[in-house]
Amino acid sequence: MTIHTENPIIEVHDLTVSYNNKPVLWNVDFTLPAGEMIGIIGPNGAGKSTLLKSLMNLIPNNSGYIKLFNDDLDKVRHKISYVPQRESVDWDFPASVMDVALMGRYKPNNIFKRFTSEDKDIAAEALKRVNMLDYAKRQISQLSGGQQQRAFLARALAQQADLYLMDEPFAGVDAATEKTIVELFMSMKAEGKTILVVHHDLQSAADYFNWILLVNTRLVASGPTKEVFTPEMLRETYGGKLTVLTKVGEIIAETQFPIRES
Amino acid sequence: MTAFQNIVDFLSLKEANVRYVVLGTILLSVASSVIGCFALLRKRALIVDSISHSILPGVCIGFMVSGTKDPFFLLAGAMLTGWLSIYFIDIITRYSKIKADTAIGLNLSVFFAVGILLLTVIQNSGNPNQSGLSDFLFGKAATMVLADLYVFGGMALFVISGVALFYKQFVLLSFDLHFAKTIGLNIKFYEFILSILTVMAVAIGIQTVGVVLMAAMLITPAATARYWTDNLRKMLVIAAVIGALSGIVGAFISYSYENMPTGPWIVIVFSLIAMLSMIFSPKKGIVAKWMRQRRNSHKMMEDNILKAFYHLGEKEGDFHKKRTVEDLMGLRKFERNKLLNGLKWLSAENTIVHINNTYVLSKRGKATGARIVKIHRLWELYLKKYLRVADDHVHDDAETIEHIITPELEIQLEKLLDYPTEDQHNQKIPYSK
Repeated sequence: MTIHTENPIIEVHDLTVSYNNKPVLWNVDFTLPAGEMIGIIGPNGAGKSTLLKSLMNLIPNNSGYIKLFNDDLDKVRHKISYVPQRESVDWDFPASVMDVALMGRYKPNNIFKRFTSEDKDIAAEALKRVNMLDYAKRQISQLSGGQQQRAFLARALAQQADLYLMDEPFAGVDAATEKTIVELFMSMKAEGKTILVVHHDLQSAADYFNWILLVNTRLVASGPTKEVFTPEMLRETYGGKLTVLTKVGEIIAETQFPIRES
Repeated sequence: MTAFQNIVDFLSLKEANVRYVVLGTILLSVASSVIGCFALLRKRALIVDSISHSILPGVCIGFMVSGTKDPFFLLAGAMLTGWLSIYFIDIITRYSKIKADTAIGLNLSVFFAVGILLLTVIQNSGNPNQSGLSDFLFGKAATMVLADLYVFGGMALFVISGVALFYKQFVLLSFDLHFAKTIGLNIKFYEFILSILTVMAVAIGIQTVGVVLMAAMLITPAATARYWTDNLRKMLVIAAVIGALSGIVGAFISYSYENMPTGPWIVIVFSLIAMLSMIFSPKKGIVAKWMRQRRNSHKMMEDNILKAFYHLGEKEGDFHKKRTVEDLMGLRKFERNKLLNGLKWLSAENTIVHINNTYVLSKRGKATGARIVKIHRLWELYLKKYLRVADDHVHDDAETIEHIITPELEIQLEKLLDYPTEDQHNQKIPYSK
């Protein structure tokens, strides 16, 4: 069940993505509204993070196209902030929390210049919003998981984007931090930002998001939470992979068959 | 000439030749240490080793093409094969099932084998220019002349300025590649620049350090610097200083003794610095760790003695009565020697007073003892109430925790438990007035 929206902020058309020639997302097609809290929900290995990465063109796709702000990614990058999974970086890197927040001020056109005092103010403000200003000088390896996540969020806030793509921001953080982050997202939404979050806790999903994408190697549903977050849809999402589809994927991987005739 | 005279001569830089050698070595060491920091942070230490072994065939080819030891040709060859080895590792890991560490191992040995083969061919060719070519294996700083300094030093300066110019890009690449990509940074381009600068830094070491040990020149100063700081800019500076110091020592030895290779000496010097750093650096060093443990066990002993005094006082209703070592040992299983030491420290701090063979708790000592007993009993209650720990399990935990609760946590605990007056065994919880 896919409910489309007028003037979408994200439009994904017939997207197929594979790793090592094994499709992990098949023919995905959806549109997402601006100014909403949107959740990408699905079991482990369903391709949730892959979907986020292909939106940012971090992995190549086999077919289809993606439009963001009704444009190509390269023209609207400055309006988008991507927050990778916390484990994707080495936190033993010699940097302070402030250094990480300031990375949000890097732009290809200012990368040769020093940070202005405005940049520093924006980064400090971002740290304040995630309650990390007191830790600004702390070495990042000394942070707890929740604090690391908040440092990443501060970097994202410092980017002053309109669309935020967050990969598992609630993974491995304590309840108090989760609450802080949710409140932050709500206030961002009130400012008109669009937030797309990879999430795997069904309990909280209905509370957090007003639009939901259900994914399990294919798109099961996309639409307002009330309409798609139903027992029936969830059963379809979590009821295991489609055996025929999985089998075909394995054959493609084994024979190194092209995913599209070109 | 005495050894001392030797050092003075060397350090006074009187001879032009010494000046070239010292300047060249410093530039080279700084360049390789600085670029090495990024190799280390990107976990590319082994790739650097592969590059350094792979430049040998390039040097040989450079010599075969030009027929001379013109540094320009040798470096061009070195850069070419050094770069090829990175490229091959990349191709192998991308298009085959072979993992990166295996690909690096394969590359390193194949390139080095070819290099040694070519070197042997050259040595048997009877070309009179080839003498000294084998110095490129382990380096000979003393052979550096002005023309070399221009080429090698110039390239070193190029590498250093490259790092200064692209510092922000390299930081982003090293810390979070995906993020760097999403903000539209041209990752492929900057990775290429970083690789080229790395190959350059390795290649310019051929004369001074030699191909075999050049990888250490990039990695060891960086790894050592990491012990001393958590700040990347400081790390770059510290690595550069360590590299330069070791370089000078190596160059001096090579200058002073005939036929002494420079590379191994440089490596020995900074490996020594690395070892000393592992032992003595603040926070991360072994000594610092050992001191911390010693401080902790000191504190535990002192706390336990004061607690014993307090317990005795509680039992007998007199906190300031004279106590003997036996009194204390009767209450708690102290090791006699450690107890005597502890009593000595406490006497020095005036928390107890030593009179003949007896000890008396001072007013301050009593307050400290009371505080520890209070925290112990509060913690037991806390465990019982908030962690539902069984009655007979709370004591052991409290025995440790009583030493580490900070005044802030102490206040929080009191509030949280609402100032209880008695613990679970109906013992009074002593609050300070």
